[in-house]
Order: sequence, then C-alpha cells, then structure tokens
Amino acid sequence: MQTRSQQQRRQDRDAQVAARGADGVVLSVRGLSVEYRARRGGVKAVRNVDFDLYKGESLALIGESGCGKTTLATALVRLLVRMATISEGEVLYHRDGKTVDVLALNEGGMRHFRWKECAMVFQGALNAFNPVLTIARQFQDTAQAHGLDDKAEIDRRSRDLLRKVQLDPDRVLPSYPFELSGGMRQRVLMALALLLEPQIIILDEPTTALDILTQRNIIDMLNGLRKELGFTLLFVSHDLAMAAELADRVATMYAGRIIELGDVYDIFNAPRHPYTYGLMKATPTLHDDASEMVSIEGSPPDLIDLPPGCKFHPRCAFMEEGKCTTEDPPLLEVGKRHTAACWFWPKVEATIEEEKAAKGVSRLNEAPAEQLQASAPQVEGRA
Amino acid sequence: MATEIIQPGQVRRPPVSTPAASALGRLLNNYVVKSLLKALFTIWFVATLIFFLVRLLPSNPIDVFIQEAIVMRGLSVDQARVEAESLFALDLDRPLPLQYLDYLKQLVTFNLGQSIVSKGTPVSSIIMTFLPWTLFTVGTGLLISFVLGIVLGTLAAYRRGTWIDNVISTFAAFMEGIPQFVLGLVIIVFFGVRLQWFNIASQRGAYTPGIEIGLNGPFLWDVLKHAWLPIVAYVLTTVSRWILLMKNATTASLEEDYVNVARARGLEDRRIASAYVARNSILPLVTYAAIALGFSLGGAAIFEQVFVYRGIGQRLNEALNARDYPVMQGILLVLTISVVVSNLLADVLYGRIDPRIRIAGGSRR
Repeated sequence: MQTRSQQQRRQDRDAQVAARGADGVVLSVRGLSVEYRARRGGVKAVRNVDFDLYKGESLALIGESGCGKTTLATALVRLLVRMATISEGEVLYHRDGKTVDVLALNEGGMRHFRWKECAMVFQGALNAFNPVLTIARQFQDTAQAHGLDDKAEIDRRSRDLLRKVQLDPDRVLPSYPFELSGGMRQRVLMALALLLEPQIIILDEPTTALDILTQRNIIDMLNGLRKELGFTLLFVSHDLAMAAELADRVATMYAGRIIELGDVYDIFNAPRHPYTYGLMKATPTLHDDASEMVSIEGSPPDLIDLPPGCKFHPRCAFMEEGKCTTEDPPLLEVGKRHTAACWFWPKVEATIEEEKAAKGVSRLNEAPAEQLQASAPQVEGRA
Repeated sequence: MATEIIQPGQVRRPPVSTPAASALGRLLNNYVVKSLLKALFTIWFVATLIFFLVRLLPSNPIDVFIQEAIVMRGLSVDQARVEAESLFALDLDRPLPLQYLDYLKQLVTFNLGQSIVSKGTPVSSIIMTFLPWTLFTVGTGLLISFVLGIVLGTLAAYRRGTWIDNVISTFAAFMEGIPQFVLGLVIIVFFGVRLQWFNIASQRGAYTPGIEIGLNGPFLWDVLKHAWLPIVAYVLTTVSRWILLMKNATTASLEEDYVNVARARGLEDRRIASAYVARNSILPLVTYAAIALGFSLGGAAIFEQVFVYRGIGQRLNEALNARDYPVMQGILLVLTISVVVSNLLADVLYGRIDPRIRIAGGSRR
C-alpha cells in the first residue's frame, strides 16, 4: 500500500527520468577500481564500480565507514592520496555534446576540470580555507585560476552566491576564516563551490561535524540551491536521514562496490540487498521502539584479503552455501531503475513483504523521509 | 576572543565603552604597544641584574685601580679615590641604591660609562666600532642560512621519501650535531693549515690594516674576504635548523585540508605552493629567525675568537680577560637588548603576517 503523496512522487520521478532522455548523462563511470598500497598488500578500496550520473539529479553514496565512498568520490576528480592509484576503469564527462575522458586528462586539463566542471567539496569545511587569506581573496584565487580575472565580476558573483547561502557578503568577504563559525564556513564553501557554475558538485559528508540545527539548515539550503541552479549533485554520507531528504537516487556501497542502486524511496521502502535492508533496520525512527532496531552482525571485511564469493556473505542472514560463497553476484535488475547485487534478492523481498503484513502499517511502508529526518540518525558501524 | 563563536549573519563587534577610556584601552591593548611595554620591562630587569651581578663579582675593578694608584704612583687613599671617581664617574661613598639610580639615569641618556683599560674611551663608542662587524657577519649569515634552509627544507618536504630528501635530511641531521666553534676549528685546521686553500693569517680582523676605509670597491672586497669564513661557518652550522624546521612545517602544511581543497579548486601549483603551503609553513620560522639573530650576536663571542674576527664577541672576550668591567657591562647590556629587540621584532612581525594574532590582538585593519 502506498500513500498518495508517494504515488505522486513516483510519478514525478518517472516524468523527470523521461524528460532527461537518453543523453542526460553528465558523468559515466565504468569498471572503476582504486587500490591503496599498504605494507600487507593492496587495499582494494573501490572495486569495479559502474554508475551514471544524470543531469540535474542528486545521487547519494551511502554505507559504513571504510566502504570506499570517499575514495570513489575523490577518484572522480583524481585527488587521491599518494598511496592510492586508480588501477583500472573509465570516467567519461559530458557537457554540451562533448565528451572528456577524465582519467586521460593531463595535469593542466585536470586542473581546469576541477571546480570549473566538477567541484569536489571535501569533508571538514572547518579547515577548508587558508587561515591567512581573507575569504574574498580565496574567491579571487579560485576565479583567477580558471581565467576569470575581472575583479568586479568576481566580487559581484561572490556577493550574489553568499546571499544565496544566506550570508551577508559585506561581513563575510573581508573576514578571515577563523572569524567565521563552522556552519558559516560550510555555507561559504558551498558558495565557493558554485562560483564557477560547475555542472557537478560532489559533497563528502557535507554535514558531519556540524550540530543538528546547522545540519538542518545546510540540507534545506542545498535543496533550495539545487532547485534554483539545477546542478548535479553527488554526495557521500553515512547519514541515512540526509540521503532520504537530499537524494533522488541512492547507491549503497559495501567493501568497495556499489551493491544496490535505485530511486530513493525504493531503496528505503523496498531494499533488495540484505546489506541495505540491514542498514534500514539499524536506523531508529520516530514510530518504532528502540528495541526494534537491529544492528548488522559482524564487521566489514578486510579489504586486503577479501572473502571469496559475495563479500557480504559472512554477515548475511540470507546466505546459502555454494553460490554465495563462490560467486560474487553482479548488479541484477530487481525493479524499475533498481539493481541489487544479491543472488537471493527475491528472498529479501519476501521477508520484507512478510514483515509488512505482520505489522499492518509497517515503518518501511511509510514515506521514509518524513520519519527519518525527525530522528536524524547516523549509521556508523553498528548504529 | 578568537574562539568566540559568531552566529550566521553577525560579526564580532568591539565592546561598547566611553570614548576616552576606549582610546586608552585600545592603545594599551594594541599588539605593538603591548609588546613594546614588555620589552622595556625586560631591558630594565636585565640591566638591574647586570648592575648588581657586576658588583657581586670578587675583586672589584675600582678597588684594583685605587690599590694600583697608591702602590705604583704613591697617591694618598683620598687622592686615589678622587681620581677613580672622576675617571669612572662614580661616587663610591654613595649608598648602593643611589648608585643604582645614577646608573639608571645614565642608561636613560644612553651613557654606558668609560673603559678602564683604554682610559677615557666611552663604552658606547667601543660598541659602535665593533658591533657593526658582528651584525654584518651574523646578519648576512642568518639571511643566507634562512633562505637556503627554506629552499632545501621545502624541497625535502615536496620530495619526501626520495633520494633528494634523504641527502638533504641526512646532511641537516649531521650538521645539527656539530657545534659552531668545532666546525670553525675544523675549517681552519683542515682547509686553512692542511690543504692551504686560503691564507689564514690574512683572514684575521675585519679588514686589512692600512686599507682606505670607505664605500669603495677594494675596501668592500677586502671586507668580504675577511668575513666570508665566519659567514660560511655560520651558515653551515645553522642551516640545518632551518632545513629541519621548514621540512616539518611544510610536510604538515601539505597535509592540511585547505591545501587539498585548493587543489580541488583547481588552483595553479605555484599559487598553492606559495600562498597556501609556504606562507603557512614560514609563519612559525619567522619568529625563530628574529630570535636567532639576537642570540647569534651573543654566540659570536666564541666564534669570532676562533676566526680572530674583530667583532663585538671578540671585544667582549678581551674585556673579560682585562677585567674591563664597564665595557663588559656595556656589551652584555647591548647583547641583552639585541635579544629583547629581536624578540620584539618577532612578535611584531608575527602579528603582521598572521591575521589570527593581529586581529585577536585588537589592531584590526
């Protein structure tokens, strides 16, 4: 049973997808793998990841710490730490009918790609600004690095954007970073990310380390900006509430792979991968007792020495000897625009349906966003 | 004040108070004024310490002079005392607190008294004769050492783990362990005496006696010829510190979020290296450099002795050997002041280049 608003949202989503047509892809990632060199051997932080990012959409990467979300996002702009290398894969960027092979760009080309085409905002805005330069100077630096030298124009744009993120330009621009609070810095960084009108914005944990009211502000602000400016958003979060509110689509990552990808309400209402299902059950809501929360047994696998077969099988309740322990499942079609990497996804579906029937009105049957946002949970490890 | 949290849309405002009180308050709160007051206090404190310490030394020079006058020239005790008083400008019958006040009065008018050994020569003119040479060698050495250290330290940090880093870091660690005077002796004995790469005898002094002094080519060349050895030795023994400090600071800066973000912002490498990495890494070193200048002047005592360079350090040694107390007192005070002034310079410089200190100190824009 679906609520009316949910039907509405689903129809809106269908219309949105239909409208973008076939050439709506702005970033296409194929077979991307990243390895860290460690003393014990290669850490396979990202393994064979495929996904497309569509123009104007918002895609959330969720998962436990250490599942490769940040590494994947960082690899897209090639800003990995020195020990990490992109071992294989392809990242194609599309704009105005032109295609750029991101991994083949030279240093100069890459420099122009960053921020102008794709702005990657790292976690921890508190130290994102050079402490000895004013905010105005750092806006100028950014613009000038990409060939925009007109000071008046830079100033006009900066002021415009700072107002958009609800800050007073007269006060913020001449300030040094240490004169601004954490929430303000996060907003300033958002404004800076928009300065060159990039097609894609990548946010890594945009609200971590901020208090809950500031988080609320930032989420609302991001939604507003997205509506107004229409940029494509890829964000990394372990905060499911935030994903529910901000994403059109959600990708769940586990042990360096995307193991489930689908529209946000499908992921929250009808997950088909046991891990995503586990994440949802590990998240508290307003309607349920805390006693109904179930954590996922075990811990993520060692990325140097991965288990054979499905990487989740040692922790999986649906695991069956044989197939699960020998063959890593590919992403299988499990619904409309919904894929999951599980051999036994119909079993997951059946379990969820049973639960819903047993409870009558199930929490999973409700629109997830409204529930989750109130509790703003964090799924970190075992929640 | 720096930790005060500012709400969105609101910026720190100065506290409200009456105009007169706030003007004085602001002056006293001013970073530079504060530092100046602290420096003055330190100088007074050390000057006092020197005054009393000199008087605590055994065999005070005035008694020695009076004794000498009585024995050698047959003067009466009173005659000798009068002569001593006129010579040293000191009334020996005055109680110590009053002598102390006289001394302070002299100091305020920059009068440091006169030498005992070279009778009639004001201590201030002795200092003015010898200090510039030490300032020249130590200043030049420090500048070269600082710049070289920053370049090599930055290089080691950017290339950390490579052979360049290994060579630079090993050199720095090795040199760090060698005292200045030992290196000086090694240079003189090995390169000067053994290998005869240069003539040590002609190195003595600050310039060749009899040369025409002035701003002319031959004289400046001569000065350089006498100064290069102390300068090279100074650079070799101090550059390691700048290398290690700069390497650490730069390595830390390179890991900073804002450097990573600057890369994500697509800034040019040169801009990141200068305004984002180097500027933040050099900040703490500037303080060290200013302080090092002050301490190096004092450290020149042994160094100049080794190279027989006519600077303030060697003059201090001479005064010590001859028990020329006014000169000792004067030079010690000047060295103290140089440490204090360089500290002050460090404070002011740091305040100028680091907005976090400048603004928290209250002299905003």
